[in-house]
Amino acid sequence: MNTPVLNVRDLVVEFKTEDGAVTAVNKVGIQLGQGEVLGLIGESGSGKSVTLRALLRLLPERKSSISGIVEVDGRNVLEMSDKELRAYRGGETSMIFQEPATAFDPVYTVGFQISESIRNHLGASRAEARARALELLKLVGIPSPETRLDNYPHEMSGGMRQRAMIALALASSPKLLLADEPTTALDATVQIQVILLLRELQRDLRMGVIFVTHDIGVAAEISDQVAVMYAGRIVENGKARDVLKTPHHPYTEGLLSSTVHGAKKGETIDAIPGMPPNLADMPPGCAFAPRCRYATEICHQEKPELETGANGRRVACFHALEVA
Amino acid sequence: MTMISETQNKVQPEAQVHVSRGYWQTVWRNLRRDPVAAVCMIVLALIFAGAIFAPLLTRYDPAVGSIVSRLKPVGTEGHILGTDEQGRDMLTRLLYGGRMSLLMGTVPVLLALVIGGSLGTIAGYFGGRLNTVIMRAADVLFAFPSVLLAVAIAGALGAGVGNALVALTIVLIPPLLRVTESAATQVRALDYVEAAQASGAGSLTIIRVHVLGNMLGPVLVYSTSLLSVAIIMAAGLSFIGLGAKPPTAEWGLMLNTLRTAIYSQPLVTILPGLFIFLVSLSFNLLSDGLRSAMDVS
Amino acid sequence: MNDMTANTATPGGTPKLSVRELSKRFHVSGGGLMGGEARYVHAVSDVNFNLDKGTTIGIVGESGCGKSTTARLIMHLINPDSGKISLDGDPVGADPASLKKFRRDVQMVFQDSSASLNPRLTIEQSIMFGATIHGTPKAEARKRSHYLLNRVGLDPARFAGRYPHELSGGQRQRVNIARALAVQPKVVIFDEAVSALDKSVEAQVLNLLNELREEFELSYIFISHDLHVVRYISDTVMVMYLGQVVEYGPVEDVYNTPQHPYTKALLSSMLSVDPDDRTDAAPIQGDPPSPLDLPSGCCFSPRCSHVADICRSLSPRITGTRTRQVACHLVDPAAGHPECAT
Repeated sequence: MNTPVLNVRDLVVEFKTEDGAVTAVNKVGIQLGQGEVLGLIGESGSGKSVTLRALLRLLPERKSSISGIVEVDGRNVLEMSDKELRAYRGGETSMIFQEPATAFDPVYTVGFQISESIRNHLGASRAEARARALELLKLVGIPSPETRLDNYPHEMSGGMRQRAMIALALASSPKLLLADEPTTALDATVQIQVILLLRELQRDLRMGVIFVTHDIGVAAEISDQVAVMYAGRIVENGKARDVLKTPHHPYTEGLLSSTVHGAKKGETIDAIPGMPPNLADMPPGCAFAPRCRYATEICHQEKPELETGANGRRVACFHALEVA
Repeated sequence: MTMISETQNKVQPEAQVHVSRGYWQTVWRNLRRDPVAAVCMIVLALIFAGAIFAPLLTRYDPAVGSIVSRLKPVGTEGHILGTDEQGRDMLTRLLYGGRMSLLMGTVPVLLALVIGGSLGTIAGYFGGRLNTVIMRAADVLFAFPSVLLAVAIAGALGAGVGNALVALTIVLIPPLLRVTESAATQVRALDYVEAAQASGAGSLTIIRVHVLGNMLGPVLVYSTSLLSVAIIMAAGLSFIGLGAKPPTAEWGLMLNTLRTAIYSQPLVTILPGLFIFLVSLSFNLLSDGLRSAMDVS
Repeated sequence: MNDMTANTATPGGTPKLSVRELSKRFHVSGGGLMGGEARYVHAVSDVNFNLDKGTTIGIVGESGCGKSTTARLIMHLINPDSGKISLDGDPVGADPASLKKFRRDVQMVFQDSSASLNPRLTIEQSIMFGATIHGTPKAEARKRSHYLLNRVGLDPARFAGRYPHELSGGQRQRVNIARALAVQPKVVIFDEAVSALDKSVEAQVLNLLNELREEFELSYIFISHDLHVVRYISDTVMVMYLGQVVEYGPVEDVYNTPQHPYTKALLSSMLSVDPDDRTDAAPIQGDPPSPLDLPSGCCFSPRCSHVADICRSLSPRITGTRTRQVACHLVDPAAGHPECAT
């Protein structure tokens, strides 16, 4: 693998609640090379979005605590001062969100907001920044970018706003791009356009990308490696092709078999029974054990560690081999 | 559905059904646990109880004084809170005065809640032209500063408790109308109202079951804060002679008649004002407490 | 299910629900006291379909295509400008009594499981509400609500007395399904009802819907933007674009041999879970245009790769058989499209 742009080890995020601390992210480790895309797959409450926000330290500081190591381009994000952090956010690392309407300030034009970000991070002059903003709008494939520069966010359609948000994220030529379900709110014909755009940009700009999604189809389109999260932990991680074609963790297997992709009409879908555990009240053993068809006694008593196997593949399951 | 009746026996007996704590029970529990709100509720309960049970709490007549014992200071034997400019016992006057002041403060809010609340719910739920007519009419009233409008109406109707009540009610209708209208409009747009319509329920049933309960929260908070305003406005009307008339005991009126004694007996003079302040503040803080107590789920 | 068996006696398989020429436009601005040209959004134009007993029609399309408006028009939550709806041969909407009966026979499950339950009512009260409206005694309605809770996989002893916020999204959607079934409907409309659920929960709910359809002999109108889900659950599918039906037919027919360029684009936007089967090029570019400024002629012409002069000037007519229809000049020999096969 080439030089890692992101190295996360033992990332733990706890939230302080009235009923004590809740561990939302538990010992997560991520290795991401330059120009590599990691698809982070999980259901709601799995900790995938919290992980992403922890990488930018975007979580409310008084209500949460982050520990572990988060190295971006060799620097530990968790030890940055406030000033360093401001330069880092939207600088080396940018984020795009599910809802572009909330990422833009409605009272300024799109062009102004992109130029501002360029001036803040790269110290360019007003005219230079505007020229660069225009370039970026062209890059993300917005038609007639000259006029769109002076548009307000509400004057754009959903797909175009999402492109503009990508342009905003690219303003500072980031090394790492964090994408939080950026295509979930889009229509199918628009979603595929945005995925293809991201794939192209990431390849051309050699960015590392973490793409959080609940949709395996989206992950399959864009990811080099995937990590599957369940109840705050990564349960399986490996090359996208390996994990999605031959899942080793029962949860990954269940997710794949419960998609309706290719399910025959009238046949019962092989759905995972039950629902994810409450993070405040976790089972003592493997978090997936209560829903797992392969669970044995040990699964209910001990937590399986994420073991590294052949081909850099990591699985946290006592019965990993049997599944395959 | 015969299938249902066949399988009904399988359903567990109802005695075992888990019942969660309801919304209002939760709000009440939160409110009791909020120290400020709890103190306010106790203060208000004491003042209301004092007013209601005034005849049992004092042996004096609020209207009868004695010329020899005028303007006694606080702490005088037999007159623990002193006496006023006509020698009437202050404690007695304050307790009886509470009856009138609290009545004049609360009744207009209740009346305005019924009138403005019904109109606001109708305007918000049905929307359209009906909404426009009701809300524009309210805007006309809303255009005037409320205290000025109350004085103008009470002045036009003539002095007296009844007229003051009418004036205050009219003044309080527009703000309550607005709050209920916006609450009803919000609830109206929710899917469960649409779902209720889709199951064939009539408008009245939907308003009763689905709308009222869900708009009660903000309306209650707002009404409580209005109580604190209404108490002051009612006292104000009496103070300028448009409300209660002498010799009736009323806090605003007492402030007026005692104001000549401000230099000789300052402590006695400010007592009615202190009560107005206490009640108004308590309602205000209670309203805040209620708002945060309702902030559940 | 006695009332239902009576209905099946109708000879010749009369369609259970028939929708004819349903249209609605919303007034946006102008044309009032202030003058100016009146502007309208054509939310739904000329929707026709039949729904047979025990079958499912899927309605697919992108946001703003009019699929949710169609559902609300059928339910008469919005009044249609024109159109005839009949259930088992009885026309609906002429008088309040027919509407009330219709609203008992046709129920709806919404996307937002939380907004569609009254937060102040317990689960049991929510389920009972509809039945008591139609005169079912309270005790019976409660028994039925417990039966239905059991049926949708929620133990009544644990859930009947709870409030909606104590449940997960999947559980709440099960409650909404039970609530819809409580009035013993014949048709249930699902408006993006599984879209907000996690995939593993979505699969559970879809399985449940299939079971319930069989058990209660229901017909479904299933509205979704998820083409995979629609294919799995539907018998017939209707593809909508900017308020118009562009293609209609049996689901496998439409999915395997789509005729309309929009349907083709939509289907090739479906993502595969196989990393070796990636999409190389987006089938169409750009977003759907705003329904405020509909293009002249065929509404898909600005994004269509087969566009010809006729497409920009003339709106295509619907061609095909009763069960398989397309609205495109490409398949209409009479239109004279240069690329037309025949």
